[in-house]
Amino acid sequence: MAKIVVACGSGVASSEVTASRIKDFFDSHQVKGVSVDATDFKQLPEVLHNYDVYVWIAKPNQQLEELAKENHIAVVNGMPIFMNMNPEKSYKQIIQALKNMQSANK
Amino acid sequence: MDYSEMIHKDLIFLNEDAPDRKTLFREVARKLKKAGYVKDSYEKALNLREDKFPTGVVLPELSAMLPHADPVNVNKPFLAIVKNAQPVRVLQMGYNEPEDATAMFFLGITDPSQQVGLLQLFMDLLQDKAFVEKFKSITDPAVMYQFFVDTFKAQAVDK
Repeated sequence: MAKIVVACGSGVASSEVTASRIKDFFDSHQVKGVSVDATDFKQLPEVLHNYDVYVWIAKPNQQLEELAKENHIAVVNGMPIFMNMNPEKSYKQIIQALKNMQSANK
Repeated sequence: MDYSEMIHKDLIFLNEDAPDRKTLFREVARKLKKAGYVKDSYEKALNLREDKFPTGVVLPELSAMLPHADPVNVNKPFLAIVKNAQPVRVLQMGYNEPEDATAMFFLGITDPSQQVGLLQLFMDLLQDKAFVEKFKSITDPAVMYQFFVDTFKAQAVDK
């Protein structure tokens, strides 16, 4: 199962909203078998390696960017999804990352 | 879900005139504290969080911010509605770019799983031209209270 993590500053508000919007998007586009979790910046360095896609609401610092790169995790700007302002590009990047994963597994 | 219960008559401040963010936070935190919605730790927690993870959002019709502290600093859930006469320099969520905000919506979140829908609904409303125009035109707190309660109630029925 593909795993997506959404991370904001505290994990109480914007990451939850964004995760819920991504889930709705998957539901309405018949995308199945993808889990979406919300977390905060504090937890992220410890859990990031468990995920396939990292959607950021608070800009990733260098440590997180390197961690994502080392673990081959796709990094996607989640702000357009959170604000619901032209989110298509971010959704496309997420779908593309999931497709890349699928073909890498084959 | 009906989020109108998070709107409170005593938490609508439409005549703030703070010169900067910290002064505004101090003023609003003082009022929230006096009304019993937040703990002593709230103002400091609010500033710390805003410094580290800014909450400004630039929408097509409105430059706003959504300050919030961790739930541990909050006693009861609320959405405080604030207008500041002069624009306050803040940073944008996610991008950390400067922004001059005039509308502030202080979110008092006690249980993220229960109240997160409010933020989602609210982000959509802030992009609704009719909603934002009405919000900008209202100067009377009682009218603002009714406007938000009616809007949230209507949304709850829709869903």
